[in-house]
Amino acid sequence: MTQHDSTSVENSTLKVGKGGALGVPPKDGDPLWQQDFPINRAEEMDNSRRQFLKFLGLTSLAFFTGTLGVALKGLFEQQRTSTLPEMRIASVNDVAEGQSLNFQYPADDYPAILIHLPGGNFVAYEQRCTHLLCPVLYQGDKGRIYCPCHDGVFQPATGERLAGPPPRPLNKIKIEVRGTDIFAVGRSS
Amino acid sequence: MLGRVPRLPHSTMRWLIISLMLLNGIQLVLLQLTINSTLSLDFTQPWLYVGVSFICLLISGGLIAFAFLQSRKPTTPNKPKS
Repeated sequence: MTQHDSTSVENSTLKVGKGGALGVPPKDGDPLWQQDFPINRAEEMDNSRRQFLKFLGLTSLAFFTGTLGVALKGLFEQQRTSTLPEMRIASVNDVAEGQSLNFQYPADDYPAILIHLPGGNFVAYEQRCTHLLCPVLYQGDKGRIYCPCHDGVFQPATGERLAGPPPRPLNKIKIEVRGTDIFAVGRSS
Repeated sequence: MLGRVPRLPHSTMRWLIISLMLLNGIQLVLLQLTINSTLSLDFTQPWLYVGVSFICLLISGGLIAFAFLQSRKPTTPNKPKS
């Protein structure tokens, strides 16, 4: 757009503002676009209560549709979760007490973390912070699972949120120790 | 819009809009709860929220219909002042 054009647009905006364009036909001096599309700005800006009422009704429908969609997605996820394969993660001796091991379950794009808690128990979680999906780290010396993005802190034994912005606990991965091997067998909340 | 008389009285429109906004707020919270439950792998609660949201939708439609039906009732003409 040239300098001349922008000036013309500004002038016309001033001219038609504040209800000035109500029923006023375009004149020869108006820019070409306004002659082709004589927009009634005052009417465009007017949002009647009837329109607002329609908007509220449609918003209600949209919220219901969204809720139903999320629930259906959950149903699909549930069916997928119930048929997860078993997978060997590591040997018991591979992870020292107070240490962790990263792995992928159930697929390569699902990072997870196996933690050998002080005391001998093993737990596993999805390695995604429930705030913004950053990868979480196990800090054995501090006894916590830590998200470095926004300082989220989780309880290693339960996955519960201790501090920071995460809204939910970490999602757990069910594990079973069979002999000296650790297997992932599913996911749970 | 010129010369057009609104079908709903102002007082009716006021409570109708306030009610619908409240219902929309409830539905927004329900949507957030559904997302939260689904992400937490809790797959039973969302259907409760879907049901409540559907009831809110029905109430919204019912309120709009009720308001318009009420406004269609014939009103007594104003008596001329003597």
